[in-house]
Amino acid sequence: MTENPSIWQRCKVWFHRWGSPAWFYRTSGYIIPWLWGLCFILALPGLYLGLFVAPADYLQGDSYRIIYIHVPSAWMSMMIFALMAAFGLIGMVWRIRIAETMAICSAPIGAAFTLIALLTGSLWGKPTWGTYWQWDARMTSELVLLFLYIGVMALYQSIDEPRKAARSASLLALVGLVNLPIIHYSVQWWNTLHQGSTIKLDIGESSMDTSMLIPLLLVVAASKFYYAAVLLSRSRGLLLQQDQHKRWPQELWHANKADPT
Amino acid sequence: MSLFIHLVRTDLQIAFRHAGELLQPLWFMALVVALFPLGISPEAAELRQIAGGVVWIAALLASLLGLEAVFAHDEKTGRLEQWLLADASMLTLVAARLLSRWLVSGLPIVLISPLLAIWLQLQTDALVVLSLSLLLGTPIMTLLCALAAALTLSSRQAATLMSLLVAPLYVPLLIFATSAVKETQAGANVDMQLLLITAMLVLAVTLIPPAITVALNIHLRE
Amino acid sequence: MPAAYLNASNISYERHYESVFGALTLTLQAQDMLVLSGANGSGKTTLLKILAGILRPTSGHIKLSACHYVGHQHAQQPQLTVLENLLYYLRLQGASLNRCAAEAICLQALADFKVAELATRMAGNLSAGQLKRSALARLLLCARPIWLLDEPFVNLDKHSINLMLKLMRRHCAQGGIAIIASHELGLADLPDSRHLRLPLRNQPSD
Repeated sequence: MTENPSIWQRCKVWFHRWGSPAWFYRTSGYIIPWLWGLCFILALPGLYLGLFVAPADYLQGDSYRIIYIHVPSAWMSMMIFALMAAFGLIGMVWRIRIAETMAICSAPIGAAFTLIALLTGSLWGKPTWGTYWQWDARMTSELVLLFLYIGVMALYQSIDEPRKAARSASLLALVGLVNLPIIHYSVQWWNTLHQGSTIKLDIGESSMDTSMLIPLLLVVAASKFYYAAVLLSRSRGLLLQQDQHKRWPQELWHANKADPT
Repeated sequence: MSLFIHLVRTDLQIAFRHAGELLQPLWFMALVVALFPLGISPEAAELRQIAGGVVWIAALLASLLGLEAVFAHDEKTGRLEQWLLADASMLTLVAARLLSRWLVSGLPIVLISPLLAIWLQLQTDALVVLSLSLLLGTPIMTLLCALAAALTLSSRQAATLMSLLVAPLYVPLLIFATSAVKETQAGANVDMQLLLITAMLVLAVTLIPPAITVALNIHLRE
Repeated sequence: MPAAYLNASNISYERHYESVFGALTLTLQAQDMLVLSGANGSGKTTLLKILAGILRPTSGHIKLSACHYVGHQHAQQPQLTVLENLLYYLRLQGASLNRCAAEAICLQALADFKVAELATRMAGNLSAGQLKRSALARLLLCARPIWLLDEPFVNLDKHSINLMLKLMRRHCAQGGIAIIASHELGLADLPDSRHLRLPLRNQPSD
């Protein structure tokens, strides 16, 4: 038994390593360049094909091309909120510090995507709807989502003790996640009640041409790697800052000085 | 059970010894409502149109006042940490506090709402629906506010932050409640809206008190 | 009162991801009195709160009998009288008595602390020393084997300090444990007590 640990035990050891900031810092350092590489490999051709090669839309002309930024951002804004709450839950239940860190570091990235989705949405709205802002269901949901992100970040920043701050913000993210579907459907319902005949936002559905769809899928995939790369970088930075008086950053520094490769 | 009743009674006793503070949210709500005829128009038809939304928004804003009384006063004197040493579960203590909080801050809003509705020229049937929606909605508001109050106990600028945290969570409640009032005015059946608010109330009553307990534990124990 | 015991093994606590104290082991039995001392910031209050079960230690295990904790905050509601405050705590501590019996217990506790005359005063109108004494009266509401006292002598006059020392000795003699965090109290004041000095830690941890 002792020389041959079961898979379960190995999993547990692997899982517990994630609790060690030093191990996380080192391992993520190896992963991050790969994530950036994948992000660029996908994003550059995706954006080129989408912005220059794909044909113009017969109704909207070139203004539709903003979906190559808008759709991945809107998608990520919601996915990151769910992931943030999931990291928060893991951190709170199993008391894994790295999970708390990742939850906290997800918030600004998600908020940025939400903001980009809102801005690109309203830029697209000007030529399409004739106004920068329409109280459309998706735009309104996205706006509420932005407020929820800001709440999580503001709560984290207002508490001095970092562990307390991370756990409080994680709890708020979880509460927000439970509320998001309710908010989403209530806003949708409210929207149909008030303006049943607004122009539908449904582009990117089955009607889309392959030459338009492929670049979209490329940038959507790239945005996921972008998130992973930025998340890991931010988490490393936060851990280093929090642990600046501990031994592992000093050891790491000395090790790097001795062997600069 | 006797502990629960004792706790609620003590909370009410404390609140009524400062009755002036208790009335402040109500004055505030009445004032906000009174500003609308002055700011928009005293025409009955126009006021009637916006009445439901105005009363509800005034109620939501009023609920954000005086939130320090929920947990922060007890935290400042050190009473809150004694809750952890009590011979009762944290959930019991939280539940007692929530009930007393609704009695002193939620119920008065329900009671004052007919008066405000009359100011805004609301017809009787819509007035009844408005008060009913507030009766169902104020406990949700109390629960959400208490959650924000518990989450911000360790914060530096708790008062501002609380409104920022709570306001987005109010969105569904506001939508369904004001729609109930509007649809009544249009002569439609509003069972669905009221049932949806009831469903949210059930969800809030089951989920939020444990979440408050977790938030208090994070504040006190970490 | 059941025999008191307190076993804390290898407890450590981190704040801001920095160690406040590390790997502390503490064993106390009935009749032990322990004085915690140490400079400001050495973690006396933190240790007491961990032992009381308020703060969660970063690592380590604690087993102890039921305890009273009186912190350096008075923990009284200013809009209630001293008696009403004590009644509140009596209920919190699990007593389900009728009002008369409960009031009798609270008044007795105040009398034992020689502050019976404060019973009907609003806590918000009391001086710091009076607040401290009425807070300490909580210890006598119901018998719990362990007393955890954070700076119990601050704001007390000579007479009250002696009274408090007498009550602590009586509690320990009856098989209890008392742990006192104090920076004014030395071994000279309590020759029969144990003494633990918390060092100020600055060295980096893992």
